[in-house]
Amino acid sequence: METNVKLDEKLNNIYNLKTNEEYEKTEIGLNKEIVERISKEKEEPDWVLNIRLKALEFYEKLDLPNWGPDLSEIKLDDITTYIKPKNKMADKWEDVPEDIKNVFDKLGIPEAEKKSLGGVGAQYDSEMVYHRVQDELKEKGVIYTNFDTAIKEYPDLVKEYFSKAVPINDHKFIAMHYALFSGGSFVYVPKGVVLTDPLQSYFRLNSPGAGQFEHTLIIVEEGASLQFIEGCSAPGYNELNLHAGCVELFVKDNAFLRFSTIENWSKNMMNLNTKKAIVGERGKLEWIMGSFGSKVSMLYPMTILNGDYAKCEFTGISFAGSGQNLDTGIKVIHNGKHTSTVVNSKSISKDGGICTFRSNIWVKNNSVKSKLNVSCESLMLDSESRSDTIPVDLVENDDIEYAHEAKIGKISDESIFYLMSRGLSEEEALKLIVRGFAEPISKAFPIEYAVEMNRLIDLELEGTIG
Amino acid sequence: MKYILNETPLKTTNNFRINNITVDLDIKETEFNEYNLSFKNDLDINTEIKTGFDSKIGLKTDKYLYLDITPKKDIKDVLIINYEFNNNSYLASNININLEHDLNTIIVFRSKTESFLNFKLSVNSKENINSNITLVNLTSDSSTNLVAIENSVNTNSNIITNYVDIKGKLRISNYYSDLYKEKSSSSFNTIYIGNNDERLDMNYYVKNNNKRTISNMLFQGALTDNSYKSLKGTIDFVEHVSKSKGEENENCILLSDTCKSRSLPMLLCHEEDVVGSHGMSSGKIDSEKLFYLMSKGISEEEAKRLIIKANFKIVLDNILDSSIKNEIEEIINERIK
Repeated sequence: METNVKLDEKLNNIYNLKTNEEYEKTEIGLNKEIVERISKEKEEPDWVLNIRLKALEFYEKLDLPNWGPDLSEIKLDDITTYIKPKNKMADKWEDVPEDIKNVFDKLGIPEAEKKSLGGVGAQYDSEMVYHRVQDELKEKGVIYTNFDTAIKEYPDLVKEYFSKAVPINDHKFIAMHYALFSGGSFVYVPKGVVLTDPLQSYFRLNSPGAGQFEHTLIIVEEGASLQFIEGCSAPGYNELNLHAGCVELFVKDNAFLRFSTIENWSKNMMNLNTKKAIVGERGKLEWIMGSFGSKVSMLYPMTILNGDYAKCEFTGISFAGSGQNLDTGIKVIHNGKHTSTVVNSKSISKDGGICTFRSNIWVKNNSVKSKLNVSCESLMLDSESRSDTIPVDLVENDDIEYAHEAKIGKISDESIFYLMSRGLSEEEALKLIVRGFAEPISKAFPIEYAVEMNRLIDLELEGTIG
Repeated sequence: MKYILNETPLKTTNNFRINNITVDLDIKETEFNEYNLSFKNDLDINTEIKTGFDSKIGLKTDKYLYLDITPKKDIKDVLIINYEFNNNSYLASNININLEHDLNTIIVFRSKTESFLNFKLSVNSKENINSNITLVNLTSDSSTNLVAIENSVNTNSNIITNYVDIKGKLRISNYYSDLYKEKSSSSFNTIYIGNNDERLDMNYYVKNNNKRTISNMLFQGALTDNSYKSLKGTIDFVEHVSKSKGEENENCILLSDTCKSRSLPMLLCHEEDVVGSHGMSSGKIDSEKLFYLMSKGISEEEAKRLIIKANFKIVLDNILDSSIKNEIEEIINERIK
């Protein structure tokens, strides 16, 4: 039987898989010619190119944020902004190029598809390499494809929603995203269709010094229901990688969407992702987020509760180890009566890692009878680390109930001593307590992902004692 | 002239414009208004006109009234310092209290017409000091008040500061407490009321800067009409401050659907072995409490007033002079009608 250490070593190797291929870095930097070439390569219609060029103008005008982690390390002119695909996207696993297939096989993606998923998408560097959805779902009118295909095959649908949740001038990195976007998933769930098995898109950035700019657009029509999982990972390099993806979610009246993310980018990744959702009357959106990787993350999924009785739940955990600065959180706008938000955020920091939780919550004047409960808990495993909680609340009406609480603490010596007296080693005791702290979050994931999350926690805690 | 004031210790997103306040102010030369002290025995007092006023609010002006007070022994009586403004006057002033012995102080500002106050209270404690300090702002409704409070707290000392901020069209306040020695502690308690179009910007920061330090911040507020408040409260556990504790709580009751409440309760932590928490509640008055009082024959308006006063009582009970406390309660009654 493999020991825990061996299992962890194996897992580490899986995430750190590198290939020996020569990367075809077709574009480095960002300018008008590059944007036009990417658009031409993808055979895009003019309206898409126009959005790209408009975004480029904003990118050139906008400054880096004057708050949050230091981003000066990113050399925007040196980032590989587009990597030409070797093959066209496949809908059969056998048609995926061997070296790429090998990476995803080891990450367990096809295995997960067979077991528990309604559909799978896999992106490798700049482009989706595989997309497949169960025939049964296709028959119900469910669309699950890569974003480029959606632009070609469902132009009206894409045009109606694309950039409508996240405007192209939201901030510098979203402007960069809209100028360079490539890959990502498009999901459309027709009215009343309930998907019992989740869809999963997996994003892998294998090329050193590259950026990934995938765009995910999900529309869940009235009364429909979807669970969507995204996984992200990359092997470690000395050069910085950049992830500036974008997720736009539209949850219509009485619809439900659970959007889960397990992110384990390598520790050389600058993860500057933007996610935004608009929820209709009696619609419900659940964000479930596990953030483990990256050197720097700035990620604050936003929800606009536009309809009466719309709901948002956020359940998230961040784990920052040595050299990591994970600046995460949530933004919510209450713009309807009887809307509700529940936030349950946890963070763990160790070995000098920095976890910051930021929230921006705006309860608008019209959102009477709304209820909000925001809770953040931080666990610090040593005094070299940092854990900051920075919530901003703007309340504009008198007829709501809003409670916010945050706590910071350490693991008590008594708890460790108790478990050690029951025969556990100090390291095992620590892992057990941290997993217990994370349990409310891990149980929100499907079982396979909860197991993966616990393994990632074990991996991060390896060697903490002694 | 436009000024950017009251910067938070750590910047966050710009969406809600909470990192600072931009105001248009007409700065005049300071006039040296009347002030009086309830007693002078057993105090070393030094008064000067100085130049180069500055505080953590960030509004630099020229001449200001400087008052330096040092108790010569532990004093049981409460020192009351009254500032009376002349008509339409401008005052910049700094009171510096050196707590070599225990001393409880109340500082009251009064004006009947439009006034402008730019004030700083600095408190430095020696070891083993207990002190209760209250600032009460009873200036006119048309006044502009900039009030900065700073303290440095020594070993085994505890400084309680109460700030009653219930009048004035523009009120900017700043509190900075440096718990720089072991086992030092500070509590900061605020009552605020916003009426009409009044604007409040509060930026409060406690640094747990040594081992076994304890910080507490409590904010009890009520907003009516079109008033607008921004409250930024930060507890900062720096490195190597094990066994320290920090707690921050805000309770803001909104009495109209056009007032706005902004809050930023920051908790910064660079030490594993601490206990830190913050809590914030905002919104309408608890309907169960309201129903209970109304079932006893009390009108809805009166019941609301009673509940807000009960919240405020926690802070008012710290005020050590009953006549000033009564005066404050009367104004509170008027302002939460």
